[in-house]
Amino acid sequence: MTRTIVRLLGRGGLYVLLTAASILMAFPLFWMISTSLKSLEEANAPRIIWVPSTVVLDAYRSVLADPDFLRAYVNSAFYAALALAGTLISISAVAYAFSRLQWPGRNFVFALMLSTLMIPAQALIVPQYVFFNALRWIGTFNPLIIPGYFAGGAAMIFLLRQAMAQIPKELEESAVIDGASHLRIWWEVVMPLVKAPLATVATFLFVAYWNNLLGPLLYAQTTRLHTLPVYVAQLYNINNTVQPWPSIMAAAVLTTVPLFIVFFLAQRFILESVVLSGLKG
Amino acid sequence: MRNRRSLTISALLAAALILAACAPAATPTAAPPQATQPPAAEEPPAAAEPVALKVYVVDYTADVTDTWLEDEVVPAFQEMYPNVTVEFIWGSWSTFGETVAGYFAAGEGADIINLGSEFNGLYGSQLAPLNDKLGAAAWPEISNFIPGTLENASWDGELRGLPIFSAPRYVFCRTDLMPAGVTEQPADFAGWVEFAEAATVIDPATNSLTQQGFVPVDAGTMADFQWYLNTIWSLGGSIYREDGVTPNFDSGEADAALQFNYDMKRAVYPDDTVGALPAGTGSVIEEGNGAVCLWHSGWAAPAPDSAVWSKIDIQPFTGDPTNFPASQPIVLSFVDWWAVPAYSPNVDMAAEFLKFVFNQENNHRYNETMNLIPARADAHTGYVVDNPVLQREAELASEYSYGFAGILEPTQLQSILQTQLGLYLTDQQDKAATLSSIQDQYTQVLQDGGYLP
Amino acid sequence: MKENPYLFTLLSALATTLFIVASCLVLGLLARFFVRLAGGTRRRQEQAYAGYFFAAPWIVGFLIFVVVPMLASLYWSFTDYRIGRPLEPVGLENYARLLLDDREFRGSLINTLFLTLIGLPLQIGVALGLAVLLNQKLRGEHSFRATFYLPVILGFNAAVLLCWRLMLNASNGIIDQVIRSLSNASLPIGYINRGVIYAVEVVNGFFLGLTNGNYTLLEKVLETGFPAANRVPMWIQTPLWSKMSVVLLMVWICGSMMLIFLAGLQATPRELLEAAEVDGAGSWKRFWKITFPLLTPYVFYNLIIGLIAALQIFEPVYVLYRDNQPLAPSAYSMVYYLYQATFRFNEIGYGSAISWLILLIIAVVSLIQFRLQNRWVEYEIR
Repeated sequence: MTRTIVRLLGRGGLYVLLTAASILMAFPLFWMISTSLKSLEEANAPRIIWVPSTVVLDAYRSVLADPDFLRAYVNSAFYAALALAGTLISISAVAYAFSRLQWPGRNFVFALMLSTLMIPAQALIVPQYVFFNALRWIGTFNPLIIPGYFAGGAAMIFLLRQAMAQIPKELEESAVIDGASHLRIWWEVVMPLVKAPLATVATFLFVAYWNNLLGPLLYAQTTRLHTLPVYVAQLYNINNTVQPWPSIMAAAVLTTVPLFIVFFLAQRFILESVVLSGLKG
Repeated sequence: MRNRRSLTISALLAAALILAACAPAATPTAAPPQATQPPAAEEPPAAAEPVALKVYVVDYTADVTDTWLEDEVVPAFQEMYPNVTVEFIWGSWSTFGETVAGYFAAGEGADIINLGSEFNGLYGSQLAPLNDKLGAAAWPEISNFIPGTLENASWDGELRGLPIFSAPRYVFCRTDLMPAGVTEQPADFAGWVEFAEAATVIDPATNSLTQQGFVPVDAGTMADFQWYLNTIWSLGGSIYREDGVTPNFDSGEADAALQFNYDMKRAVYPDDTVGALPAGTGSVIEEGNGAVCLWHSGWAAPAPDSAVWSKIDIQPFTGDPTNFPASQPIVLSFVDWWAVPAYSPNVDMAAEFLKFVFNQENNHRYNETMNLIPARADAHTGYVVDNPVLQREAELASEYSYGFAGILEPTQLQSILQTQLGLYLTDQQDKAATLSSIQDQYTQVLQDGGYLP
Repeated sequence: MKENPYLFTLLSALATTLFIVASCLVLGLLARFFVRLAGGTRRRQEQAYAGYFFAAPWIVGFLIFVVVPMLASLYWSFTDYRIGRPLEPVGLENYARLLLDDREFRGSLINTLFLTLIGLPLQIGVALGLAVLLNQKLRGEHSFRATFYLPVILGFNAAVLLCWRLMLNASNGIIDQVIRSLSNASLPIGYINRGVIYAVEVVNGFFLGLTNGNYTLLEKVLETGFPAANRVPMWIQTPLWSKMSVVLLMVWICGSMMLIFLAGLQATPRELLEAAEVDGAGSWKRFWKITFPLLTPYVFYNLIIGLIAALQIFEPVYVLYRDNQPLAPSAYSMVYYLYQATFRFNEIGYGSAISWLILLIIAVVSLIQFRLQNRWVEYEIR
């Protein structure tokens, strides 16, 4: 296959094709960055300007000087970090139960877990809102973070479970002979062997938490608890004739930076772990 | 081994229970205690229990309005009421819906909410009645508000808040882009259709518009429901029959208005393969953005200091006197307002704050930060009369204002109208089917809501 | 304590952790107890204890955050509950109205069907194509891979979607400008462009006809015939193209699927391919007889996950058409309709009925997919 394609297109042709596809994929990012570096007049000019004539950092300065933005950054980081901590541990525990333990009712519960994929999140929003309201948790970070501690996210459990299932039994058996409890086996034998899938799950979860708009919007109630997506959404106000496009884009670009960092670091693991999960199972 | 484990279990359970009891127990202190009743409307309360007011605001200019409110207005208010703290929650229209729905669903949230013009219908029954605090007997200053604007801030006979500004919709036309030989805006429907077609330019190379004769709010679909209602009202029509509840979309005015909207669409877009104006930013009638006439509020028009205003003519929309003698020129008036929800534990103090922010000087200042027309007639000074554009707008507003208010189930009506208008204006449905759909669906909505049997 | 929201949440998290640990122990003990009651062996008792101990976080969470809300929503679906008003039971009225009277709900079903039938295969196809291209030994493969995954990272946040609105404008949006210049530059491309436009409009016209009950637009498209030379896709401007913009966004975000396929391609055993080559099989034959069949588990995975995601599609529709109400009915999906009923109109009872119907539809479709799996998914080469 390799040779045919290379012969068909030529090495150069292949690069051209890939570059064209990349341009389409990355264009919104390019446009965001370009607009964020424009002056207000250029950003609002009637004709499309691809690249700013002079790079203007005003947008970044004003966004970084806004205490609401900084607080939103802190809030997003707090939310993502705290939620990730709890979710990773509980997901690992549950995946362990489904992959390396035999217990009555296991297959039924596993099927039940997979079936929750079919429930659209929007269907649960209102009843959960009423529930959180009864707990007086509206106006706090709790509704965003606490549910994750209960191993929320069937797709992630599935991914990790597949990875754990691949681990050869022999590695476990030596620990069993030593008389180790399941807790020790889980923590000391299994977990270190699934670092790559764990990194993958952590990446996916981090992206989801960082980009989550509807949740914080519903539960935050005051500006103090706003996260980055809410902050960016609020910048766009139809009451302004002149929209602060550079600031909106600057805030958006700054929002994406951590996601890039995380993705570049975890790239290698993501591919590895998909192979490891052996979808044939 | 057993013993140690059961000890661990009981210790953990005990710890969990203790912590669970601790954390939520801390929350009741967050709920502010009841404000004591002020003895008279102007005197500060005798017993000074701390009161915390939360105000949710969407209409503001960043770094101007908010700075003024937080740094000048609140301290001045606190000189009168030292026990009160005011916290502003700055929202935006893009997040307004969910936020406010969340407040009412939870039964708690902001003590004062900045609502849009038509929301007196949606939330009216859940807002606090304020006639006893803001009515003429309790607060003589209320007579200074433009009467039409108070309608928007009322529900079921009671004031529920105070209006900030009047943002009427005018027809803005670029005199330099009018068709050859035309110097004035058309005065009836036929005139408008001709005008729109003559003023529209399509570029054959791109099969898209380079100049659009008329933009009723939305340049692309031209199917805005407020434009449709405006057309009906300009003909002297009404959306309810005499009983004030039964929908009136089978009337002659509703029919003619719909036909007019369609004709205008086809005057600009001969068919739906023509592309829209190039995407731009800023007002459509600003230099280079391509529109000739715009029907929208002041804030969709160019900034007040723009040079293009010397070439813009501002008029009310005159309806169709040729075919409907009851036609009247109207500027459809949108009035955003601050309302007090009934769930608030601080209704009295909220009303006091309203009276302060909406006194003559503050109402003037507030609107100055946003370049809008104050709802208080006695605040039409300074920037309002100094800027010829705003002065012209204020004149037209006082003469031809027609309040966009008193609509039952406004969100549902909006959705029905937008959908049906969208279907008709893209030829997916004919006019008769459209009108009967609107009539039937809206009747159903009102029946569900308990307005009709 | 609520004055410091961070502290409050930290403490809540701590309390939750202890609660979860406690429930692990409780569930484990209960399980062991029941197994003992049922006369299970010592071994099975211990297994039950361990299993339920570790699975407890999910089980408890499922009960609290899924079962209870779903039961509440089921109850509300039989009432006329709205925010701010007392509720009254109305029996099956909501469901009856949804299935029989609600043209917009039927419209949303048809739109979702379109997005699934047309968007999903395109997503999978493009993802597979990109994965095949990336599977060549290239320099800079990592950067390309990151770029194709970029849309998933950017997600559908407000700024990105505003960018798309700018890009999708018919006259000066970049996409149409490129199409226009390519069509003008080369005649065959121009014909392909017009052909594609024609095909898209016919298919969309057909689906719109299903939604509206009349085929006026379809007739119009057929009447006009082959599109003129200056036509370009209309993306977010007309009902004939509104769904295609959503499809475009679906394809743009196919990065996760691409990664799955890439992993599958890399897992194809070299020896099989080499052996076949030695036997004289041409490269196309090698692809279809060996590589593709071995890829089918991955295709199936992407299909099932993609199907469930397509049936639940919300974000692209939300941001493209949220404030474009006239066009929205031609594009909105089932879940968007649910969102609108719940948040725009505050009709909780009706919204709950919609969620249960959607759930039913997704369940049925998924089951059918699983049954069909046996027909065409190969786990090994015969």
